[in-house]
Amino acid sequence: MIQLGQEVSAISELEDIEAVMGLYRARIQRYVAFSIGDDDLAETITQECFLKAYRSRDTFRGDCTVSTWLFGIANNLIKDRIRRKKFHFWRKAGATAVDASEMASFLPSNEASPERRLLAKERLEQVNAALDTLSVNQRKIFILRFSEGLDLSEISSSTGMPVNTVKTHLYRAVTAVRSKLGVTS
Amino acid sequence: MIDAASGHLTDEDFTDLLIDSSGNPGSVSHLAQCSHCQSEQRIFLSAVEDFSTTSLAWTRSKIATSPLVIKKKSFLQSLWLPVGLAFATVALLAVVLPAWHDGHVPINPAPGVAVTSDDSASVIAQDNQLLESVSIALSTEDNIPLSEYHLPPRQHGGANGRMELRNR
Repeated sequence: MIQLGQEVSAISELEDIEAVMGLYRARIQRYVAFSIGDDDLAETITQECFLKAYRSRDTFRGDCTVSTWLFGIANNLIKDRIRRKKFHFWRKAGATAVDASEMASFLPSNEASPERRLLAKERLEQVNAALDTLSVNQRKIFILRFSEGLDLSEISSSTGMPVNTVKTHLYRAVTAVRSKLGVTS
Repeated sequence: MIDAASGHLTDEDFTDLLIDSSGNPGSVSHLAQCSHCQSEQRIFLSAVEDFSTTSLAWTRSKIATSPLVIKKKSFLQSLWLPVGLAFATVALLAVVLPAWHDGHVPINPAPGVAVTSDDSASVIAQDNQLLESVSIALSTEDNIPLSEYHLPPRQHGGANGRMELRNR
């Protein structure tokens, strides 16, 4: 639970939607893009997410962080898409799927040797390939846990799933990624 | 729980530990002293961290190259749509209504110009009179101006006469 001062700060922060977008847009868009595997659709959903956040800013009670609240809105939008079957259309089109090799060019340049860079690139592709084999829910939860650093209760709150369900999805996702990385016992 | 055969964490325990680092105390203590399990954990975490860093950088690059279309602006712009439509309607009515009005209602005379049926009849009568006098003047056979120059009467030489004059 955040304190009153922080809550007021967070609510007033939501008034400046462009500043909020500047802070959270990349994280939300990354989350949506890798959850649904469609870059263009992720952009649309992200913009809808911020529009919805702006319109319903009065409903933000401050009992979670702004990012958790935004992830929750993004989750609902993804669910809506799936329910309305629009998502399947876009998935079938597959024209703007996330390109792992293109993404590899953004690897941190602090890898000392070309061999290390090559290994990092290979592992990046393995993680990406493992995510491709997962369900949307498993991917969402994996990203929230390992890329966004949310704990289980925060993931539960933003996805609306019970903690045990979150754990189950996460377990499958981690197993798949470890298997791709070749680090299973 | 430790795998009896390998002496390391089982897959289940390892995954539990990755999901929730404050999991089974036995797993936590084994990890603290087992270099093999630490190495496995490092591989997983570094791969995931690279994925997170790279995917965020990639997304930022996408955002940087895509136009910043903020729906909020579109929403605000949409508020102008009814206003614009209202203006367009008023402008259309301003054009259409007078045209329609012209077709159905006689034009009122401009203020200060009193056009009556008597005046228009007298004006028409004056105009007719003027036109008649012009017509009379045009139809009157006056002397040809050339006669004032006392030229000899014209000989009817026809084409030959003209040829003779030209050959001179």
